[in-house]
Amino acid sequence: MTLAKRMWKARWAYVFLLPALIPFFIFILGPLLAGLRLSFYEARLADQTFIGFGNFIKLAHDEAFLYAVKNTFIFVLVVVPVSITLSLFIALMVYPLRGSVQGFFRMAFYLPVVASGVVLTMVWLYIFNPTYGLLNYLLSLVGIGRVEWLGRTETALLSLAIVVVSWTLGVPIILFIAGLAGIPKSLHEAAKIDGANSWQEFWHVTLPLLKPTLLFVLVTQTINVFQVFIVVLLMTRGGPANSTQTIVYRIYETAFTFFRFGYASAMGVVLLLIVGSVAVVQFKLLGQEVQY
Amino acid sequence: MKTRILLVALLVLTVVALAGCAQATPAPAATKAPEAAATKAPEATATKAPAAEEEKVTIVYWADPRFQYVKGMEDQTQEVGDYEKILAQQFMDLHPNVTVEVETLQWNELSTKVAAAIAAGSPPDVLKDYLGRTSAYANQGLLEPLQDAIPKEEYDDYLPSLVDLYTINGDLHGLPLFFWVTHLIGNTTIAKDAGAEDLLPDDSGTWTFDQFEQALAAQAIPDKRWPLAMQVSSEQGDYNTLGYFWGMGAKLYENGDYTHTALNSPEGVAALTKLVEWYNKGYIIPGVTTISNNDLLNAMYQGQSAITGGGLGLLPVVEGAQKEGKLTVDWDPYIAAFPHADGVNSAGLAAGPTGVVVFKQKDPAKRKWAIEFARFLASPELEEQYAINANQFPSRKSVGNPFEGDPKFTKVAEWIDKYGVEDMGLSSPTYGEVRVLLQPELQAAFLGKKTPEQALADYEKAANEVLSQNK
Repeated sequence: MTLAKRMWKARWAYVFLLPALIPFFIFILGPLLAGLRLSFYEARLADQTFIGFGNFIKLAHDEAFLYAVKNTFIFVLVVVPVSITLSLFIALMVYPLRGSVQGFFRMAFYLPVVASGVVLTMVWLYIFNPTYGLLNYLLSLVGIGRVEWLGRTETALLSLAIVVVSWTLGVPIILFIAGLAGIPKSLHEAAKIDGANSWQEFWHVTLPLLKPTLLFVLVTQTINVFQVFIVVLLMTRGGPANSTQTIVYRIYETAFTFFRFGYASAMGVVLLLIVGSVAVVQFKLLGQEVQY
Repeated sequence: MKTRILLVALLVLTVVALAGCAQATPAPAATKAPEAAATKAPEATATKAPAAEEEKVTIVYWADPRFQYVKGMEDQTQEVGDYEKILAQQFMDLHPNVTVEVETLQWNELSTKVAAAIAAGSPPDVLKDYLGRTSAYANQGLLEPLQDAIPKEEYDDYLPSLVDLYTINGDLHGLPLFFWVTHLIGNTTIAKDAGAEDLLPDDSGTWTFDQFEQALAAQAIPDKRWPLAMQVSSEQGDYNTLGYFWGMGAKLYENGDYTHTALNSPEGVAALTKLVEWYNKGYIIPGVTTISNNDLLNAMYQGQSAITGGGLGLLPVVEGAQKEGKLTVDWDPYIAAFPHADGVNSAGLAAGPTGVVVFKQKDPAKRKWAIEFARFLASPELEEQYAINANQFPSRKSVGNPFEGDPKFTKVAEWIDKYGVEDMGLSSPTYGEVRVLLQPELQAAFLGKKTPEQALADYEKAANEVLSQNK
């Protein structure tokens, strides 16, 4: 059957998909293509001049951007593994609990996902405040002196990582719990009969069967963390001394402070390529089908 | 050319105006009851053409979210944006053929939303915003020139230096409405508590770096009180840091030349060295590199700090917080100039005007009414209201002195008269881009990652790379 015939046969499916496809084309694909086009232009507020790969060549020598790329990678390498490990651990703890108790913990951990990022950031700003913050107060009780969590280059990025981990646990926990529920009980029972201890049961049964969930969480978390922005904007504005500059914050600054839309778009394209490449590698490493 | 001389001239004329020498003013504006202005539309632009004959026009007006609880209209202006809608309605009453659609933006939207709208080809028709942003639009040729669209007597009524700041590439790109001037604001209560009252400036309100440092030292309490609340966390409020550089004799730009920065000088290095030294001694609030303006205010409210930078507009903010019970110390404010080095004739003052601009129009009728609306918004009656409610200086001579008898305004006017204001490069085509380059270098210096010399040299290199586009 030709492609056209197959499409015609599935025409009603396309009709039902339209409500989702139309916004996708207008708000995702359209701007994406416009951004791609813009990346080849010297685009200011009033005019656009085609410059080919000029923006990309300039980016390769832009120290501030390269620094932001480095910071973003560090951020991803810290946040994603910590976030996934922690959420898997919590899911393993919560999953065996009975219905209502499990429901309470699921809700509690999911709450930050539905809360405003701005509000959460404000709470964390209070926690990290060097003079009246909660964290320094608690540390002072055990004799540890004042730490400028967001004010030192050594601690600022780590502090932001803690904030991001804290509000990105909700979705993976829910997904891991669902994944755990999908593993047939008979496999766990068989492992037990074969004499497997808890660790062996987790390592040889649970984890391999969670691979599809793990892959999904890994890819989505990586994409999300690569795009970290609001926490940087509200907590450090890329400082101190550029130590928390990230790619998306740099894009924002380039577009809306410098009004260099073409250059900012080129940064966006580079980010897309980086995230896409990382996702492909993740799929290659973890994407094998799971056999039950 | 925007030279410091012209800037000084602005403020000399301001003082003249504030001193009540605006002979052309029929009656002192301050004597009018606010209610009168609230209920009666300004007459400056009330060129009452027969409305029925005029073409119907819709104007989109975007404004900054400045005014709330406007004096004399508190009940009608409880929400941000209410005041702008009332003004728009007054204009529509005068000109029934015109519909004004008002949108009040959040502060952060003033750069993002406006820029996105321009890029998308749908900017507002009229915009009220800070010169630091509108100058960028003017430099890219996006705004209507206004010099020929307003009567000469109206043009001449604006303070000449403001006209100069608003004139870019030979065109008046906006009508100035009001402007702030920054200096230091301190709490006398804390100085008294520290036994340092005698160390505060005398009636002149000025002090040297040594005197200022002595006052800081006297008010500092290790790990409890850091007398100077300042931040280098973002470019917002950078003038409150630059005040110390200017007081030391450094300049951001020399003689209005925006092709390179002059900050990396022996005076600049001396100023930064002094600031870093104060930070290390515990005179400046911890977290200076990332602290927010809200936290600075909180430090003042809690008595953790005693002095901060700001304009007179800060006073009602603190008084409002006091009414809400946010202050844990008594608030008895004094104002002072930034400290100056021996022989330096500067009070470290910066001035920041807000104005109204008209984006380029294709339709002549719309252009006419958009400009007419801008003139309406810049009428002396409204400028007086703006000045009173923003605690800032009016930009038209005929407004006179809305703060007659207020010693703080009189003192600032005296400083302006004596020392002038400094050039921040607000009209430079690359103002926004260069502005953000300084803070990371200052942060590096405060954190000891770079020496002051190295930090300013790196800033100079980065800034000049951008500024070279202005040649």
